[in-house]
Amino acid sequence: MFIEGYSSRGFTISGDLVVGPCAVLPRTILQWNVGSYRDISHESLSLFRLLEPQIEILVLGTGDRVERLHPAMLKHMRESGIAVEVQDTPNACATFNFLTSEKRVAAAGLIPPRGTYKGM
Amino acid sequence: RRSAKRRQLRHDVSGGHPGIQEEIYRKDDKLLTLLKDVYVESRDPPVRVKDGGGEHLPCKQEEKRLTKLGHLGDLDVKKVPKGKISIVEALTLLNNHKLHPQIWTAEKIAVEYSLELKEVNSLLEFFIPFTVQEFPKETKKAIKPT
Repeated sequence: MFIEGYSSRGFTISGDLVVGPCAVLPRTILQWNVGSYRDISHESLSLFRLLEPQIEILVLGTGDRVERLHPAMLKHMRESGIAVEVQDTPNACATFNFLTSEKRVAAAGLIPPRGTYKGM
Repeated sequence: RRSAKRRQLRHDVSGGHPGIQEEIYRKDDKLLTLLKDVYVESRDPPVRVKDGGGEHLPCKQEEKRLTKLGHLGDLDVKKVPKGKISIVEALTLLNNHKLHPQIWTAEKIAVEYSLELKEVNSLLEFFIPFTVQEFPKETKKAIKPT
């Protein structure tokens, strides 16, 4: 599953147009009910933590710019065995695609950037 | 052959061969072209992030449960540790709750899938299955350049 494009409204993932923030999981896309990076919390990352087989690396796209997330929350994710990579959304999409192409068990939580559309 | 060359190199350097320094610093285009074809693939099992400490403590025996059956055949995970869910289960429980929230309450889901109620509430709040909409092709209009 690859992320083919992003816009201020959402993403194109494997040919499907997805509106709003989304959680990209192995073989699955879900709507991710967060308004902005401020809503990224222990609770809003629950599914990524609960999955078996375990996710190896979680890429978080925080929007236009990379944002600082709560250190305790990131530490807890690491303790659950999941590496977390926080980036601005355009870079997060590229990182997710790269990890997927390298056959890593990757997941992504992506918030659309507010900027104008750019093809990838 | 390469080690022979290296030995020769070492010999030349120690023996004070005049041309050798130039050859070392010269760009070898053929070698560079060959290097472009090299792709290193790691087949080691992925390294888990270590949580530090605790490594010498005896492990608690993990409790497992059988998963509820999915539709992906061999791709399905058959057993998961208690407190975890497979992807198929996650999709099923989120969809069930979306379609029948009165039947599939957080409490019922927690019991059915051996999850903590707190975790189920987080799942239901933040992860929602998409409603799929098919856009019929004929309604798509190309914007004509003016």
